[in-house]
Amino acid sequence: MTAASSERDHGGQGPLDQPLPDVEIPFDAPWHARIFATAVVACQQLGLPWDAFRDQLKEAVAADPQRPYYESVTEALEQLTAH
Amino acid sequence: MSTTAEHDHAHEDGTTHVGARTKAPAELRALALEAELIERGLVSTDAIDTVVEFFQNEVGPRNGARLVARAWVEPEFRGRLLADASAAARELDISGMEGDHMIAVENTDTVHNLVVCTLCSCYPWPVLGVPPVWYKSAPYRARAVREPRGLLAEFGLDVPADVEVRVWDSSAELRYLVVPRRPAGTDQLSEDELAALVTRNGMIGVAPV
Repeated sequence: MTAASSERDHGGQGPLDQPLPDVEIPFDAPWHARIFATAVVACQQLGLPWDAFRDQLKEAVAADPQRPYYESVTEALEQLTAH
Repeated sequence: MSTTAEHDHAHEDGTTHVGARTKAPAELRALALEAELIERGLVSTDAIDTVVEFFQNEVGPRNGARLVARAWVEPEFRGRLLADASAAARELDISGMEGDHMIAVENTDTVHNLVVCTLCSCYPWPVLGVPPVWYKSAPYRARAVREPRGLLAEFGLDVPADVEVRVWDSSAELRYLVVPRRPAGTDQLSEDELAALVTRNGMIGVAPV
């Protein structure tokens, strides 16, 4: 999935100008989509590749494998934006 | 916009619907982080909304599309899907908190199905992702019942007069998924290719596929 497949025009400045990362775990609740989207936008604004977030997420999952996935997403985003 | 906000608010007051639950700590923590990042100017609500909308339209409905495509290529699975959609979904490892009582309704030459939740926004999340904003809107909820053909025409779908329109009212107990008709000329397509043709709107019943 890439932003190009969205067929929408966001005027050249929007968050969809870059390819969006694939969602690995489907959303079960609106806040799952929201925190994931927040991570996407934050990475773009910080000029970080998505892999920077994914590495942080891997760490968060490894630190607490029993934690629900999207709680690890929140944890990872907290860590990534801590400074 | 204010209508939607008011509606959402009203819905979140006091019913037993799953969407009316008290926000869990995990959700509150995520909301707090989002608010903090907005305050720091790192993200904007508009940018997040844009990405969420993309996910709503493109990502969430993938599971539903897999179910539909499997039903198109495998008659036995189609039978099981129409008999018990939740069980059929579990065959494809699809399950979730709002998908436990799901019913699949099939479009045919003589019947077109349309799904609405007249009370609020009940929706089969595990197969369709997060509902689109218009699904929750008061005009959609009212018109789907009162004048479904006019509503469908506005979505660009003219249902012939000899095709019956059936409107299904989703609730917290029963959530509906439309199985669109397989498009003509798709005999050569693989199951994955077929799944790519199926849209979220098709599975709500406001688009042909």
